[in-house]
Amino acid sequence: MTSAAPIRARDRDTILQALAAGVVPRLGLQHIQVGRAGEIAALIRDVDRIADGGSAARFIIGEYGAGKTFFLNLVRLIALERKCVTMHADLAPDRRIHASGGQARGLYAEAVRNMATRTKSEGGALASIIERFITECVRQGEANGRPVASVIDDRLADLHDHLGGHDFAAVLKAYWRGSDDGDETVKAAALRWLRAEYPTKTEARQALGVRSIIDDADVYDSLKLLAAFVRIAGYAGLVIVLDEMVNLYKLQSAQARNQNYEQILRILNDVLQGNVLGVGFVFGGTPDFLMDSRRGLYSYQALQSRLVENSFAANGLIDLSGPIVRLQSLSPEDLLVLLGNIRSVFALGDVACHLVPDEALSAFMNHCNSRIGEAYFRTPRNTIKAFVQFLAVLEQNAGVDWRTLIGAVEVANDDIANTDEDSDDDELATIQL
Amino acid sequence: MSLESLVARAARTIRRAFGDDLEPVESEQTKGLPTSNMDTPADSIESREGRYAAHGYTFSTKAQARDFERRRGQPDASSAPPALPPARQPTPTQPSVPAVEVEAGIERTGDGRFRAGGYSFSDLDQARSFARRRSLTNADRAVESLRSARLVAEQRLAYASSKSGSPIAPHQGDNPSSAEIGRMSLRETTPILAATPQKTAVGSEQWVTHALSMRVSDIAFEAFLIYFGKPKNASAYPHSSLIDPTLPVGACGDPAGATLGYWPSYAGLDPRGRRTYLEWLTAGRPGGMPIGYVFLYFYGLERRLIVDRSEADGAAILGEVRRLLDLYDVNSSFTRYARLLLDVGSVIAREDSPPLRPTLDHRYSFELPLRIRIPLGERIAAGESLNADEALAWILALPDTYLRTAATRCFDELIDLWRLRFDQGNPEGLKIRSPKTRLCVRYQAAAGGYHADLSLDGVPDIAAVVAPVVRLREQLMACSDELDPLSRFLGREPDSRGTLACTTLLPADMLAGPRGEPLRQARLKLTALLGDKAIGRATLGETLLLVGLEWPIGRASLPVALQRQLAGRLDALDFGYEPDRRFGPVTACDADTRLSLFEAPNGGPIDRDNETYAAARILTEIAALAATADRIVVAEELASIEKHVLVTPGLSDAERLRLRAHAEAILDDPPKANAAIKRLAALPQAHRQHIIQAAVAAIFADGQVRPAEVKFLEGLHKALGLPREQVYGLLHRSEAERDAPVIVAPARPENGVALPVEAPASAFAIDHARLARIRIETSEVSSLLATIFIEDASPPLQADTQSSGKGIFDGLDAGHAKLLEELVRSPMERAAFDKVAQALKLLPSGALETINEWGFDRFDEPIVEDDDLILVPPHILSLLKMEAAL
Repeated sequence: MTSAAPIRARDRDTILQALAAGVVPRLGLQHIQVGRAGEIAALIRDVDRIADGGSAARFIIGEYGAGKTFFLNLVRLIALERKCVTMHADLAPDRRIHASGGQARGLYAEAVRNMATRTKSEGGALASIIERFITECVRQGEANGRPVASVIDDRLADLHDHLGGHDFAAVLKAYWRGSDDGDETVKAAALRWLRAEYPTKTEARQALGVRSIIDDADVYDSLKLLAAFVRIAGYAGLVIVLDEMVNLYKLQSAQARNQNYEQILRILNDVLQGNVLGVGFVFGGTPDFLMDSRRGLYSYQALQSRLVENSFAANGLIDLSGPIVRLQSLSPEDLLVLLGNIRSVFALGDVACHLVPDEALSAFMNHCNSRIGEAYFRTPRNTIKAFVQFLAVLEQNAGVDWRTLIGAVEVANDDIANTDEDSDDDELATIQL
Repeated sequence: MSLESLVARAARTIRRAFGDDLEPVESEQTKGLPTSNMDTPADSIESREGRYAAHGYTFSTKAQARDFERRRGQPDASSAPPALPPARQPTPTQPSVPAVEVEAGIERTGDGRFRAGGYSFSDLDQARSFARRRSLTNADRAVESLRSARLVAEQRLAYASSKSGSPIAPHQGDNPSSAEIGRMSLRETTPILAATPQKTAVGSEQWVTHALSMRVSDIAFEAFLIYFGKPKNASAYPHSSLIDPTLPVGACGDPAGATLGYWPSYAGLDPRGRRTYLEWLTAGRPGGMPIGYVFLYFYGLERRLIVDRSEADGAAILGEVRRLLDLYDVNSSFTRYARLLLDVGSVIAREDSPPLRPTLDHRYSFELPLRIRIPLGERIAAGESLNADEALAWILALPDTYLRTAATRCFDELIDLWRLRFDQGNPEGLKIRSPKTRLCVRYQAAAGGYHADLSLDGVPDIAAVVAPVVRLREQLMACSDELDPLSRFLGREPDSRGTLACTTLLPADMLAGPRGEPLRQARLKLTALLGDKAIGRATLGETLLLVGLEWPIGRASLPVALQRQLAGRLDALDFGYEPDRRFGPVTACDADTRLSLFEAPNGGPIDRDNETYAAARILTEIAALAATADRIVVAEELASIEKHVLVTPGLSDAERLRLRAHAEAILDDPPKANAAIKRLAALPQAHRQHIIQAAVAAIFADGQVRPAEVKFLEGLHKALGLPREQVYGLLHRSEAERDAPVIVAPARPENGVALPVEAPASAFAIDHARLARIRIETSEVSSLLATIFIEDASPPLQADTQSSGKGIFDGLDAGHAKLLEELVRSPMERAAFDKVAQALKLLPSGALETINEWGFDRFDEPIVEDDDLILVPPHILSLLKMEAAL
């Protein structure tokens, strides 16, 4: 595979380690990404828009194994690369966008915990961001001879326009006080407040002297607040990635479902109308989450009319400007290219160093086919994992013929991952129009 | 009185009358019978087994035999008929009173009764009348054979082939033309006496060829084609039509014919009858007379032709007979005799027979008419085969051909159909092997008393051919049966002949001819409806009008009978339509139901039980339901249905077309969803996925998925017992793969010979075009991503030039630079790091962030690893050391 840039040895190891572990690599995705140029370009434009102070919302819809998570990660990494702060969280029964029993707060807390910057791409960047901001304020204060608190107030003046902006500023000042005094408790309390981990207002008041906490109802507003804050702190914008949206679809209570959809509608409205600056939402979900006529997003009429696909984009024409981005499951051809890419990563992009010839790729796929069945290319996680291991063995044991080894490769069926999806997914995979 | 003796006697009489050159006519019956000898002695009575035989007859007493002998001995030459012995003798118990002969053949018996011909009568007139009539019967003798058979055969063959007009043309000048006859027949109002009586001497009998004024008694009249004059000495033949001017004519007539007997003769007519007869003759023999007068006149014509064998008068006589036949064809007896005479007469007159035309006229004839036998016989003799018309004429004229109503009611159609069928079965014509039997016909004179045999040695007798008859007759009956529907329809509506309704009932292959014209007109209209499309749309009401049917007044839906008629007519028009209840369930049938019409031979019949078709039909319905789920039907949806349904393997072209029409029809008028879905339950599992696919494709055809459509699909899945969740995956995949190849049918294992096990390499097929596309896209995305992830990999040199000399680590402020410097010197524990940071008035996490951010800009990666031990990774460390010059 031709790669635009040579692969660095460090990247190679990172990529291969991640792939061997069955997770999305943190970097070097450009070396293994197969296809989807249009979709990725669209998302890059989104990120650029966010970095320019705009806003965006996308629904990444794909079936199980279609590579949603990979794609979302890719988007996140692009955003980080564009100096955005990213937050990501998977929805779960106890983590929703809207709830009254702390589930929304749970989602927010999870997202904040996963807050990442380019330097801390694996998350936990909240403190770094705050401290960086405060450090700047301190320096500004020193330079201007002003008290740090008033500098903070000045810098955060914009936040006062936002709901809860005042308390947010108060908490940041408390953090500064704590760090200035070496009072770790106050610092921890401030972070705790920012992570929405105070269950009651009383506790928050006792610890930080603020009268409010971030509660279920304030999740979206707090996200907007954070978005504004990271821009003040010197970052390009905030990209919030919410995966496993199917959990909303699975809510049994119609009321709860609709309240969540209402929140999504609110987000969409804000984003589409340009009410928010420097913030982007990327939702990942399965087709049924989108299309189920009783429980899916489309069951919510207002959303349906906003999300419905461009009717002119029929018959092979593509419109990626709409909020829906559909990811198709991998085809055998996709997988073949992907395996070729992995081989190329092993060889550091040097064609001469390829460990196995082209026919080995086909042979490997045949092998997977015989072991897992037809769906092997739709849920490529294990196939890739096995292939990386296969190449690793070849690399370390020069002289072993790939043909003899290929039969010994164990490829696990992706059943375990399947359990949280609908059980008939495999049947589905056999249907093709 | 035995027949045998009569026949033998007649034969003898003829021989005597015509001399030795005559060909003796010997019927089968006369052969082998004892020939009576005129010179038998009186005592020739033999006693045999106690009975007395005389002249071949036995009697119980010798007296009887002698009496018979005596009477047989009477001279035969006298015109008076011989007195025949009574069939039953008076009973011997009666007193034997000698009978006195009053007149010839009539004797008065002792009991005062008159006996004639063995019968006893109460008065003399009765006996006389009987005797006279008996004498006529007894004198049934044969005229000589009409022609030398060889001669006839030669001549007929000669002029049949020459085709040079009528052979009797030269005589026409002398004879009254048929026009003249017609003119004269109009002169019936002319008073008889007004004609100038041109006195002619009453001569002996003569034939009057031209109109001639004559006088009988007080009537002057003008007539021709009659015998007139005093009878010559008693003729050998009864001369019943001879007008004997000496006989009295009544003062008033008998136009009702009350005085007419069965076998009229002029001499035997009542004087009143004679007057009426003569008046009728003068009036030009118009129609409407009692048939006895006509017969009387006819006897003369017959005699002239048969007995006198007047070739010269032949044409005139035949013309006259034909005219009479027209006038009196209601009388079957006359018709029969007239036809017979025409047949025989045309031979005598050497008339060229008209081309054979099939006709029903011979239906009730007793034998195959001569006019059929001669031309057909000649064709057989010439070795030619019979064409359709000839064969039909033959079969129709056979006396044992019994036609059904359909054949007679639709005779014209029958002829056409026969021609078709005959030509199909006998493209070369019907070749008949010549029979040994030669044509020989006996003409039994209508006048009675004589007959003539016509034998043509050169002409085989087709009446003797039996072999092909059965087959031909069966074929005729088959044709008749084919016309049965038409016949029944015409029976109900006799005026409808030639309408579209009738035309549609004709057998299909007759429609190519002129009879198909109404159909072609209707087809034109239907074709115009179609335009240049394969399928045209029209409402049920319009379609009914087009095929000549009318919507029943006051009915909301079309009655089944009319639906059948509609179907039948469209079939005949070679048009199929949908929805057609013959090929699947139909929902509505009101005037506004829109039909899909399409051209299909014979209405494009298909087998509705064909599993493939049934499945495809349900498929169509489901797809149509899917397409109509959003209440909007667009052309793409229809196209999608067609694309999906029509590729189903195993469908014939007719089925495909019908399905397309069905799809169009049900898009307008969708079936009840529940009903259609219920039918799905009957489908085999294999078809279900296909149905879902078709439905999805139909939904996607307009490029939009609406909630109603999704709902429909969900319902469909539920009905098919498939998991609901499958819907979304399907929709999702269809969304992007709309331009991808379509699986037209699921691969199904076929029973049969097992294929050799395939190499595993073929377990999946790589689409190389797609592979190439993906590769291109991949390299695109790769370079796209590369610009993002590697764009800031700036060489350190560049950073140097930008350095402002503020600190060692260019771009970092003093505090952070100092902190980094500390880190480069040695890794630190977290607590130590915090302390150092605090000393530099930095917040530790924020400081790390800032340093790393700087590192990213410089080295494209974080330069400080934030763990329990905070350190700089070795490969960065060396770079930093270099930079810091440590």
